[in-house]
Amino acid sequence: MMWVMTADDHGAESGVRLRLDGVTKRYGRLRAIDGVSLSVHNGEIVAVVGENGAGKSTLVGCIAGDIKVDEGRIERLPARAGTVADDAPVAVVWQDLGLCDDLDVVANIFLGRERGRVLLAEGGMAADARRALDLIGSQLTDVRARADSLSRGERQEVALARALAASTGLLVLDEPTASLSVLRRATVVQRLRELRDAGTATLLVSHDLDEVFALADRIVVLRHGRIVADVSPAEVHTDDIAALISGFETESLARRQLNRLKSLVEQLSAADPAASLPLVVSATAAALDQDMLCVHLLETTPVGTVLRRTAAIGLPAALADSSGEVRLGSTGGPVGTAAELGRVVTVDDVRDDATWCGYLEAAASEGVRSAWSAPIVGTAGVLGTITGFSTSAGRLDSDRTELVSLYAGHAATAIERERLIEEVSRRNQVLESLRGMLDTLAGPERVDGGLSAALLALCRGLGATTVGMLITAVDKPDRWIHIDLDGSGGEELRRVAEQAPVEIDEPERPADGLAVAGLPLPGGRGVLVSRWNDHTEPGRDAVQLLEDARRSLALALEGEGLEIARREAAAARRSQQLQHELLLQLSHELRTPLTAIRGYSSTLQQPDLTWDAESTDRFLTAITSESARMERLVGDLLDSSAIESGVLRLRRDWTDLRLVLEAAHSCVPDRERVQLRVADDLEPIWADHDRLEQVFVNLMENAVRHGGGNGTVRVNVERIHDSAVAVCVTDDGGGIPADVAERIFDARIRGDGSSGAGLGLTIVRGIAEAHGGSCELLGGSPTTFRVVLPVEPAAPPTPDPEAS
Amino acid sequence: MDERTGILVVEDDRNIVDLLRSNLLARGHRVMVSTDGSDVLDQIAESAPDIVLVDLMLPGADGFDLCRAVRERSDVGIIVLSARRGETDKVRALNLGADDYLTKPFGIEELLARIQATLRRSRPAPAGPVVSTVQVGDLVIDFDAHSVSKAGRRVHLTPTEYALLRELASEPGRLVTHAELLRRVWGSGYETQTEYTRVYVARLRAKLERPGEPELIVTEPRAGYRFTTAT
Repeated sequence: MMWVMTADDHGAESGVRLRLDGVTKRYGRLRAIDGVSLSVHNGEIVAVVGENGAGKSTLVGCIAGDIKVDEGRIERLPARAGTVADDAPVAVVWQDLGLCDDLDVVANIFLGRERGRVLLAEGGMAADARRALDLIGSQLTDVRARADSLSRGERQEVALARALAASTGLLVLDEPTASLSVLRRATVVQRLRELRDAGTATLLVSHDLDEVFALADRIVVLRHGRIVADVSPAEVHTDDIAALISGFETESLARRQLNRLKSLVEQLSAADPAASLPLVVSATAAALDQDMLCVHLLETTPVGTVLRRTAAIGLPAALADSSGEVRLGSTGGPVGTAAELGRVVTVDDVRDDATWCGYLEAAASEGVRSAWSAPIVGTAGVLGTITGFSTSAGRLDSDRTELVSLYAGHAATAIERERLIEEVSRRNQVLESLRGMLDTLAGPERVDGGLSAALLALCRGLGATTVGMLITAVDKPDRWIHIDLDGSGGEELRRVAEQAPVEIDEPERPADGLAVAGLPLPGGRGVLVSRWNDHTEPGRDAVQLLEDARRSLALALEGEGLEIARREAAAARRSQQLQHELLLQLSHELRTPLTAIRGYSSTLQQPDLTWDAESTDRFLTAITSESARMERLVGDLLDSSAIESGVLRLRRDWTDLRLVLEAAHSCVPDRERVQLRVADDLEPIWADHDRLEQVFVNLMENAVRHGGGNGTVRVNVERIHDSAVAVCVTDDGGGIPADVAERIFDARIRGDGSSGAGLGLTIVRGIAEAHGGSCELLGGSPTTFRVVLPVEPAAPPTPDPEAS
Repeated sequence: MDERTGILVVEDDRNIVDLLRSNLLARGHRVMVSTDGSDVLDQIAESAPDIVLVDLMLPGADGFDLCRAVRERSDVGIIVLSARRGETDKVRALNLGADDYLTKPFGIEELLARIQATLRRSRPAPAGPVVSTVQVGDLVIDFDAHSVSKAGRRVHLTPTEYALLRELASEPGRLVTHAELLRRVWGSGYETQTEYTRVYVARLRAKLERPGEPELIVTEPRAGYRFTTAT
């Protein structure tokens, strides 16, 4: 059959099938190929690689005779010596495939060779085409399909089949597999190997370095039209080729990744020691392309030294279960052996190895075929091992062994750093907490909480059972904050603090298990006391920590004082501003009716004008209504001041809330817009009817006024639990902006520019609260005010024991 | 064209609007109303009022901004009606171009008198000054034409500004006291309101004096002002 290369194909004695000598091709001033010399022997695949524009396709064109070279020569040598050069046939797969769209698959495969096959029946050609396609694993079924009806992958298959079917003994392939699926690509690679083995000389141009490394006997790197390397894939790494292609004399990708990982490990182990070991494991796994990896650390136990697994990735369940703890020494398999001997131990194939212990049997049952284990050696000797498992047999090559050692070194660094940090971290953590507390105190959280947190940290850091802090200032009540971990309470410790000498400063030890230190506070005095159950305390470390802590605490307290002063000043400024605004508003509110009253009365008093009866009546009505408005305002003012000073008195009785709401409803202008819904089974509540009426007139008026347009206002009353009812007044307006909502109950703020002294909601809330209830604005849109009122009188307050 | 005085009331309180409208109509004025201030400029353009009465506290509009906006576009007399009694508010309103400032509550006669005073300023004086023009440097005041020009270019003055300048410039070199100025420009009852003269002299200086030139209006501390005698 035509695919099998005959002995004839092994031709020339030199074995050279294609030779290029100083080939140069210019396009204008550009040298697309510049003095390229190379040769391809029989039974050899030479790969040409390079960036786009490096001259690869031009080279293919020159070799195929499609492009005329400017300088140098190309010899396509026949299989047998002595034949004339230059007309030896060459089969080419062009990058653009070079198919004839209007011909079918068969015609394309035999394109240009019909004459030699003239006697072949059409059916025979079709069968040959089919076979040619089969050889590269093509699934193309219809060999009579026109080329332009095929997919890109199918077209590539046709082009390949044509080139391979040509049986010329010299193949030039320009990106032959670019459009093929992975599976088809593997078939093609296999087919090219077979052809090579049969003696075909192949020049392969490819972007795919994996394919190049899988196939090529030599790799020629083209760059800017020149050959910059002509190497054997056995000598180089793909990264080196990649570097040559790009022209960057950089570290190899692997090395770059390694360095990146290394710095990452260092950063992480500095930031979070606990995270570094798992990171080392996953970094190692990534660098070695190894799925199953784990780290064991030596641990001394009562029964002897064991290796305990502390980090792992990808271990199958049986292996994970059985490798948690491993014996030191050969009974511990590669892990134990590597740890004992301090060198890398590899197991090429579990089946051939007799020294298997439990976990490797478990590993074998999960399909593991080989394993290696490398010691993690720290400054004080072996710390543990790093171990990899693989489902294929084989040992680590020297590169990977080197990588393993490198990562084992990182692991050792990480472990030692972690252990070091553990030792010093107790004190550091306390100091960190104290520092954190400084920030906390400067922030908006409750000050005492920050101090308590700091004291807790200090207590733990000291290993003490109780820590307390007493702060005394001339113009403020004493502050005593304490933390006790043994539930002993702090009274006794407080007495110690109170009795501490005034001039105390540095930590002192008034008794065993007790320490007292002063806090250097400006304008006050602070004492820090701590107690231990251990009589040998405070030791030197504790004294040192107390010394650090008392300074930090003093700073924090000072900062706290400044912050409080700052907030008080800001609040005072704000309050002044609010009062100013309120006064302006009030004077406007009060003077407006006054203006109307005085204006109308002076209007009527003008001696030179006489008003008709209708006007006079209107003016007098206005005077009356404006007087009522003033009265209401003055009443509101008095109410709000009564509420503010806490002297609002309620006249309470059992009150029917329905009657209250109906009375309020009848006072509201546009009352037809207000829908009242009251549950039927509403029981009377203990309340002041008139005051509640005031509340709901206010809320309903507000809702009617602010609800916008002619929308409805809904008033719903329901019992929310045994002891309370809720009244919700909801309008269908656009809701209240969050910044206004926050302060809507402040006397000073009006929801918008409309009239109303802004006292209304303050009074509403004040009355609700005087009833023991509440009034709140429910967030969002529409706007809902919810008044919650207790049903029954609050239980009489229990008598104050100290007062009696 | 309607010969009656047009008055635009900018006020949100219904009763006060009714009060003002009733009285102003009874006095034979045309009355326009804006309840929120948003259409004031349009109304001025359409109905050409002679006086605008502005409430400083309007829902959704700042009375001060309104004064400024009106003054930027028009010479119409502006009387502010305000519940704010502070001097700073008064000075601020005058600075922004208000001609007068009336605090609430007010009697209706007082308002009518203020309206008349403001109208008087904006109309040609019945008895003109002795001279018809005054020239100081490149400033020319033509009392007959009611116009002022500086370096050949017309300077735009509001009626109140012009009235004040006329009082000072018609007798150069003579000390005109605050009280005299106040009575002649604003009317009797204003004699102690020296902030009016201070604000308006400052406005005149800003419009007429240039840095480096001799002062046109010389301040006599605590007494009053003197128009320069230089020519």
